[in-house]
Amino acid sequence: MPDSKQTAHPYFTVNEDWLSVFIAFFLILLSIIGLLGPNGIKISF
Amino acid sequence: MIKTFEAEPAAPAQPSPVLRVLSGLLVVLVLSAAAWWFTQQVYKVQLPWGIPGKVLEYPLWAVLAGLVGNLILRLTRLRETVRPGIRTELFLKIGLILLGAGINLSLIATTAGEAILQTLILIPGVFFFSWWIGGKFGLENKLRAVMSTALAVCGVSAAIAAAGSVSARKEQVTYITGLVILVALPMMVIAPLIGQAMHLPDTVAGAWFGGNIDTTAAVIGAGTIYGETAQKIASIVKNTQNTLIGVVAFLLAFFFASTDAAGAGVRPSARVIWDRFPKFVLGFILASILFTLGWIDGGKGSALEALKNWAFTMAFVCMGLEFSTTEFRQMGWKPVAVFLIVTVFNTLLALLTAWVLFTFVFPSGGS
Repeated sequence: MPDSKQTAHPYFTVNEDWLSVFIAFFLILLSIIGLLGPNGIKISF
Repeated sequence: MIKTFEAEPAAPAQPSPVLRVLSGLLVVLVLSAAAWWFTQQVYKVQLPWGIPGKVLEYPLWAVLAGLVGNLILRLTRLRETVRPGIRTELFLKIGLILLGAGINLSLIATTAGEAILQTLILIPGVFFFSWWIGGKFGLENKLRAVMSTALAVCGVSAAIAAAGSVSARKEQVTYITGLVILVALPMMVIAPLIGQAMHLPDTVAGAWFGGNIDTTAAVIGAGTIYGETAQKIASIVKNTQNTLIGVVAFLLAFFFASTDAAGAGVRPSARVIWDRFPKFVLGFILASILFTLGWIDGGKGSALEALKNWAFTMAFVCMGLEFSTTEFRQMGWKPVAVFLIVTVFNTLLALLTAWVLFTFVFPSGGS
């Protein structure tokens, strides 16, 4: 049994917890600089 | 028992890991787009008895899309090939951080007290009830520990953290994880319906979902179905519970290291707690601070809010894709009986605490 969920995946050795933080804040950064949003790529749901 | 959702035999030679991850992500994306399209169609229709179609929110259709994809992949024997790209927890955590980007800390400031108090009642209450009744049914200590933590804290992540702490067998973790997901799926739909039938205020309903439903995904799903305020309160309560994974894992590790004759070699330390602490919770808090300061816009109608919904949709699709019935037949009926009894206990205790705390003790909670 691995120590934590973050290292459990057999194909991703990267820490999944930190990866989620990185991806989320990368998206937030894109929205801050305007690449995502009304003046950039418009995303809706 | 649905034969098509049983574990399929080992797949033949597989493509490279990168290709398998990419193909899995593509499957998740396509199914998420299908779920999004279907959601838009449902939103336009009026259901019987005047119920607006919008009540049937996207988590439901995303799970169904995942189940359809699951069926197709099993029939075509491609499920094992794409499995590396099915990343429920990753999409869920990304969505939760983006959810944080739309939460003003003034909301947390008025709710955190209730959330903390509710958590301090629920976690020990549910854990020790589950531990006690598991003993009455003769369940093994490690299985009891994993099950009790999953039910008392936060589902899948807690079960995995507890399993690491007590050196549980992999099959025990898989079994409890499967039970958590299987029970959480109907709870995600039933709990909001019960809440509406009881005319629960959004704050009480959100606190109930957050304290009762085991998986974070289903908590968010139930909150989303109920309403925006309920979703936020449910998320705050659930995140308050999530932050205690490390504490529970530490206590379990300490207990089992002290009492297990084999010792298991686990010595609790600050490093162990940190290693098991869910880091996305830090991202959630940081994103909330940035939103409160007005540095980012994750509020209603923003691109970040749309991305949050997409991330959650992908997580729910993955839940449907990962569903399997085989694990439930291999360990007998006793763990299932204990799990269901404790779920009923958890439901009633969470409803009582949410109602008392958010109606009488802190009536302005979440406002």
